Amino acid sequence: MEVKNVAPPRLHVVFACLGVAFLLIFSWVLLHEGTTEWRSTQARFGRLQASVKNPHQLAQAASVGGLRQIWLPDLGRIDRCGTCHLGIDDPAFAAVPAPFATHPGTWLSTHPADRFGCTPCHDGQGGATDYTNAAHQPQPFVSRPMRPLETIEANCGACHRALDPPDAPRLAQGRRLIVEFGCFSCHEIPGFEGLTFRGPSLASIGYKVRSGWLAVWLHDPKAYLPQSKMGNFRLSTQEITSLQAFLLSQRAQPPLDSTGIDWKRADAANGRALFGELRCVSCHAVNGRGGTMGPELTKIGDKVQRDWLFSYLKDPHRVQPDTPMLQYRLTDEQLRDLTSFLFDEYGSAAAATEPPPVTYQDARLVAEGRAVFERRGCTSCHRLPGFKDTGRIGPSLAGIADRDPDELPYGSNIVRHTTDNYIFLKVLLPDTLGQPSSMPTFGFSPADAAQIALALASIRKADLPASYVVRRPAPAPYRPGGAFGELVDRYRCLSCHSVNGYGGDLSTVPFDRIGSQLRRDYVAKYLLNPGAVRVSVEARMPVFHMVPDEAKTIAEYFADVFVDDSLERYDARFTAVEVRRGQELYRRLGCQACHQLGTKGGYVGPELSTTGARLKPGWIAAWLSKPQTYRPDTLQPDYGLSPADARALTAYLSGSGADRTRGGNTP
Amino acid sequence: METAVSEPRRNRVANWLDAVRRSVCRVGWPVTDKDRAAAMISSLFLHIHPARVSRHALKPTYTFALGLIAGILFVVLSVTGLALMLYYVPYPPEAYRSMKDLQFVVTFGIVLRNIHRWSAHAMVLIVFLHMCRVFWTGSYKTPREFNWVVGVVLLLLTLGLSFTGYLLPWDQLAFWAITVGTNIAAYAPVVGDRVKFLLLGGHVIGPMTLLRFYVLHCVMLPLAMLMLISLHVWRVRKDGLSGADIRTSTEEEAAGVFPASTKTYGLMALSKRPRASVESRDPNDEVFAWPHLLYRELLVALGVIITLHVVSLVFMAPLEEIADPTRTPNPAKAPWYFLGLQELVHYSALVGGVIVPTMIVVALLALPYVDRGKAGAGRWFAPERRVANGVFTALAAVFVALTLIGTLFRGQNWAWVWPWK
Amino acid sequence: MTPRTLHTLAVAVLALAASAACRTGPASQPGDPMLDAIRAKERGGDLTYRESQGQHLFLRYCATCHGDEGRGDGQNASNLEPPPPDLTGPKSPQDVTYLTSVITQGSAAVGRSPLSPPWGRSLTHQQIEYLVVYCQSLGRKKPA
Repeated sequence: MEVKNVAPPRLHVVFACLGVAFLLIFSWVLLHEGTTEWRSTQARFGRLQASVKNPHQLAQAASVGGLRQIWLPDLGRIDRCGTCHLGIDDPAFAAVPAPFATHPGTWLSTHPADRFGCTPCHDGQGGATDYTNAAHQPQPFVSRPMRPLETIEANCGACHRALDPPDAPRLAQGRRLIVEFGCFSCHEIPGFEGLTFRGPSLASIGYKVRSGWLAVWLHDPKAYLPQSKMGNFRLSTQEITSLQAFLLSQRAQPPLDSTGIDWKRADAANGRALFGELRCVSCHAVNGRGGTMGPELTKIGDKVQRDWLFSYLKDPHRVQPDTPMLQYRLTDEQLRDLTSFLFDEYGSAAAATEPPPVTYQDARLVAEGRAVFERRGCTSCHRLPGFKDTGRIGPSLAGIADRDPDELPYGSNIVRHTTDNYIFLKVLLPDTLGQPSSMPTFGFSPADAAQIALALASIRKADLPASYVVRRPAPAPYRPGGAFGELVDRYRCLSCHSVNGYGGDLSTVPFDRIGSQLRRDYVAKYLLNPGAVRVSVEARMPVFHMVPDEAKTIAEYFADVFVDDSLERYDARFTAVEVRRGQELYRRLGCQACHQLGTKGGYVGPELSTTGARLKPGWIAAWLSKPQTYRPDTLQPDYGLSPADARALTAYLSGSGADRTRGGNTP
Repeated sequence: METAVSEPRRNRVANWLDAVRRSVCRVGWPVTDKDRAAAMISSLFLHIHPARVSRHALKPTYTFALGLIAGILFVVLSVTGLALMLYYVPYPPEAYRSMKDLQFVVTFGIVLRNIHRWSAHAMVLIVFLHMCRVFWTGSYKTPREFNWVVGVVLLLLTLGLSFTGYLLPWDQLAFWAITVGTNIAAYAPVVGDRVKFLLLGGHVIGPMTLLRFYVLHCVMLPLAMLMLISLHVWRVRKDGLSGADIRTSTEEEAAGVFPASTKTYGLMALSKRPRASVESRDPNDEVFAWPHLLYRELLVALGVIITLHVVSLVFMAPLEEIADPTRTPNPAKAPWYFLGLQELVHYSALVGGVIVPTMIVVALLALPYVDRGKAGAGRWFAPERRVANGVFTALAAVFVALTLIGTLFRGQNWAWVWPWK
Repeated sequence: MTPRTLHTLAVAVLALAASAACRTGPASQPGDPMLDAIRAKERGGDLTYRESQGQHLFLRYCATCHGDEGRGDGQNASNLEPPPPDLTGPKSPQDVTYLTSVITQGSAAVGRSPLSPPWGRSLTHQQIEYLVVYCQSLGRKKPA
């Protein structure tokens, strides 16, 4: 009876075993907690600190025990990276290996950690306190693992919305390509609002191009022009034929009458001279050299019809109101010579003799072509009367960087499934993603596609607090009226020059304060026969064949309107001592490395022999003192000149014009 | 000399300590049978056990201690749950962040969360197995019909607690499992949509849903559970521990599994049914609850806790990305214990969402009142209950099979996949 | 249930759980063509991020005299007396302090001709640091 009422001994054995097991398991839990990765990392740092610093510095150093975190309430983030990256803001650890190394560069001073944390730039799981979970490498269920440095500029772009953000060359190049190729014509792209991209108007294309060229072009634009901004739409032969018919039927405005032109009397030599004088290569490339603003002209003779080219050169704005091309003041004979030169020099004989087929009279084919035109979204880039604005044909790219990578198609490409890779493949090879795509193949190089993808990868779903965003400057359109306005329109000054940031950037001379920079007489003379101020720059101001009255109008408008009073109030009575000191400074600072004076010097910057005749002294002094305030990206270094030094140099350079240009006007 | 001086002082201290102890616990360490009985009877907590229990009920292979394990899991869940409440913020982004904080910075946080998570899953499983055990041993027979009903409600409460807790981490897994789960509820005719609206506090899952589920999970359901567990255990105490003596004779069977003794704890005024005895008839077939039952319970509790710790240290509780209503995972799956239903819903929304669950619950509730035969109670797979056991086993197997299919064999768009491929 | 069956069951459960745990692990990783494209562009992937940043700046500010490859053969080099040095040779300066002061204060500050201007006021510290590491990389690499 009594035996029954005490527990059997084997239960004691079980109890003992379980008790020991429990103690073991509980010590395991304690061990688990006590030896977490960050604790051992901090211990390692403590030892490292003792070897890097002397006892005095050690006493000064803050203790490193415990978790460290940065709370960013505006961004909804807590970054605990500092728990292990303990030397990140301490220059003493510049040479030690990760994770204790100092942050390279000056990023932490321009982006203080207490305001920007770590993950807004680097991504990763900021809340984690161990290497794996911080997602230094891609991890399951971490949507944004740390970005490799190669693509980190995508995160710069989240805040920096300017088209050319500082110190982010890949992002800047990606955005430049987006603007250049007009991606926002077909896609809504946040950050590119208000920008427009226009392909040429097609209203009179029937008169413009040869039908053979059109077929080649539609089949693959790169076959004619490797730099083409139009992509390859992968059209079928039937689509090409119908589209060709439809386009050739577009004949809104016949070209200007050229029946009186006797082409046989064309002087190709004069045409060649004109081609050089008009500085066509500033905007148009031939044989791989020249500007990119206008289309490449290497095979122009195979593309367009002669009458049309004559008419276009005579008045480009008639058929292409938006074109950046200016209207030269040329006689019919000059135009004839130029047209003839372009045709002979930049066209093959085979194309010239091709008879134009008249397929465009087939109404069924034209209607079919019209449907193709509409379906493939040609209207997104090309204007054509009779088509109403149907919005963008491509999907919006808002929040594209936050698309679920597992839901995106990758086709047969064997790549890691990330949004970056998807965007990259879509930009590079839109037809290989296993889904029918109407996006054309633009034929980007992989590097260009990667930079475009990088720029797009900065477009996040949720916008940042306004206090973090550096907006893209949106210059107000500048449209002057009156006689000056007409001249600006005719000569398309704003294709190259800008006013308050509005306009082109081909020229290094914006109009903003040009009246206080340049002497009025010099402007009036220069416009009649512009020469090269910078020898090494290929893009030069064209010879407009302007009449003197026009040049005078512009020079006066400049002198009256584009004036900076602070530059005008400058005492230009220089002493001989100042001039001598300026000469000495010129030599000592090494100005001759980049500038020519007389016959000596480099040709990176403008030549300076005629400075006094060209520039007003107030401007010279201001420019020499602080060049970057006037043009942040100028190559002119800031020497930190004192006002007296700047004045001495100004005295020397202002005088130089009178001294050295006795032989006549240097262009 | 020294001993002479210190001896009385030591006695005084011992006496004082003994007085303190006696004020708390009136019975000393039970050495005699009387004390053993008194230890059980005079303690508020131990009183849920009788002073003496049938040896048969102590056999591990009779109950597998499933009810006890479920009770222990409830205690573990309450304790860890209370600890987790100290860190949890029931508001969308912070809810997810508190999960991450538990993982990365809270001392013992990840172990706590893992234990809570795995205990919750284990409890659903154990309660289901407990129900199966009760059926297979026929333990729901008179006088325990109502306790079976209470048990069924407890099973539903367990599912409810697990389901409401499922949403709280606010990750993709939680969000979409609850979306699927509440959509199954919405298939009910007439009231379905309203029930869903009431549950979600809106038409879609949002901050209101989280708050609702939080209150349900942390206050309402645990309170209901606590009360019903009390009732359940009290009924076990009143009706006697299940498990007739294998050696019971036919006369005894005719008189009921546990014929009424003279001493009962029944509420005379309320209870109309035949009173169950506290003690079995044959004293030789019984042992004192102290230490035989209590010791075994202690061992089971230790075993459960050790297992939970090991599992929690080895396997991390799942936590995916933060919930994103715009990103639907494919397939979106309900919590695993509803995957059998989701599998049925895949064939027919009405059958899987309404008819089958209603039928299961109604059948379970009505079971003890339909199956009134008394033969075969208290034994595993009694031959007398061959038909009942067969039907129940088949149904349970189908349900388990459906759940396994839904869990392991269903991939994108609910298409069939082989888990090893 | 015998201990043997219990044991078998436990092993089966553990194996199932282990296989489930393995399935959720990171899969083997195919390529990142976007990263490869960027790496390939920057001198066959030889440049680090900071060096390639420096290369961008070098091409803009320095290459007219020092040459695109840093060989001292820029288009303006023939106008300079003394001519710009070849930065790629084994004797090219590697010292951070020296390079920083040349770029920041001009070549006159280190006792050479004044023809290389001071960039300290025009470029940020960050940009100068990039240029320094790029110049170091020029010296590090053997001219092909």
